[in-house]
Amino acid sequence: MPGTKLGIGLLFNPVLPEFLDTHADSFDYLELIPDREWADRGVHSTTRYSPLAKSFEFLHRIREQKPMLCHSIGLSIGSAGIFDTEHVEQIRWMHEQFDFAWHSDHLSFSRLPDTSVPAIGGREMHTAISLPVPYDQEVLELITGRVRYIEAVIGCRFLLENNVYYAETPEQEIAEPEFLNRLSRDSGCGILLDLHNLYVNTRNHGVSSEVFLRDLDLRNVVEIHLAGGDDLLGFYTDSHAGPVAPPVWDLLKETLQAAPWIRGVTFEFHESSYPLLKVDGIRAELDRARRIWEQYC
Amino acid sequence: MALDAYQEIFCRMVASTGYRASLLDNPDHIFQNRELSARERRRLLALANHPGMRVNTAIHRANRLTPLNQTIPFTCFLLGDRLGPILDRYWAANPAENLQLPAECARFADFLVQEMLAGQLVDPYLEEVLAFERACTELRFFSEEELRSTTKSREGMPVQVRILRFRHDPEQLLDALSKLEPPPELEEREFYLAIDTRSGDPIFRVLDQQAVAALTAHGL
Repeated sequence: MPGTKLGIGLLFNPVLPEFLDTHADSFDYLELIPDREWADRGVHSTTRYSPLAKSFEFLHRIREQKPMLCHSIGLSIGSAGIFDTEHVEQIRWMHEQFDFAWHSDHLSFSRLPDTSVPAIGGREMHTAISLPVPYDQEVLELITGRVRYIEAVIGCRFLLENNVYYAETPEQEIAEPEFLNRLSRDSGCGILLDLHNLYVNTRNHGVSSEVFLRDLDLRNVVEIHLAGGDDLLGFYTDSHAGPVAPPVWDLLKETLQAAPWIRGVTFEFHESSYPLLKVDGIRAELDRARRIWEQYC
Repeated sequence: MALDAYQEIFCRMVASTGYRASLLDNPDHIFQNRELSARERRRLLALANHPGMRVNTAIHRANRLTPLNQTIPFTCFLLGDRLGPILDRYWAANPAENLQLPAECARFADFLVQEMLAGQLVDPYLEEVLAFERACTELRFFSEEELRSTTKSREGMPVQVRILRFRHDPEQLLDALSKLEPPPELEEREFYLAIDTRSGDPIFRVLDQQAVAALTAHGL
């Protein structure tokens, strides 16, 4: 298990630089989505990646003061037809730049080979949304091998985040918490428990958060994500809009009481919802998370 | 590999309501020549029927629109009600491939240029506004080295500087669009706008006749 408890963190987005400078005491670490900090020209480009210099300059300055975590969105670890080792190498390069405490990505798929254009080798389709993988033995084995590869390349602990889904996949072989338990056991990965994702699935599909948290081996949980959402077409979505959804605070208390190895609790919000939060709102969410953290950790 | 085919059909159903409707209408047609297990076929049919697929599609579309809105907002505003049908055509012809801002901006910009050339899209300001936003995006996201390799060689001109030709007063045109107001009716004349990002943030300057003459004399 990773050693140091980091505390309360914030997921970086483009509206945050000023807040990070003026409220450095409100967070213990910064989590970064690396895919937003470079331009990626695609798999067959000669110069595929180039870091966004201005952003890097700022982030290096923050790194001198605070620990950082890396939370990527582009590995698409559940894609049957693509495993982008070049992208893994780029993530390794990013770790060299910032010495992240650990790395995480999503238990889902978002990239596929585009078979409609066989003449153009390597063209991809992007789902533009994280889609769920079926919780089957076949998928478990596929992802287990990839987790081992990623950990070996980047050289630090790798976590996978429980997914949110809007359309249910029927006839799955393994229940979600058991799938996560087996994945941890077989691959060695930790779990990033997104409590808002769990809450969204509870709201939309009647998943019992009580049963989920009872069946999930909480010893594997290293990090927690907190967020808010809003309604769309009769569903409740994980839009990261504004403050943390109120029931998620109760889930946080329950989880922190039972999970022995949690190292960080991260608040995520989308930059478009900054007007709902503003500086005081961000501060209030971080302070509330800290009070609960100090009570249970 | 069956999982491959399952994920591809799932993805296509998310991206296109028409594809999803055709799967529900005639699943055998979609499934033919696909290596899919009976369970995967049942799963895909259940997904196609699930009301949550509408949410997946809405999020997919919102996430495809975001990079365009972040890189070419004035163009999107100018297109107004035309944007919806244009996006439908664009997305039908271009499945989401690389949603990074500069890549998606360039691809959509190329698509709009083709529509303009084909006479399907007529707007007095669109061409120059699109060229302006495209240049700003390249200057913002490309390194000096990349700008050098992607920009036409112009001896004596730093790669972080672009000079764009406008057919309408760029100050009035861009000022209106920045306030999300339709541009006023502007007289057609020749203007040149310089964008200079050498110091980091972009500096915009409308060039006077003397500056244009000097640049022309130097072949710039």
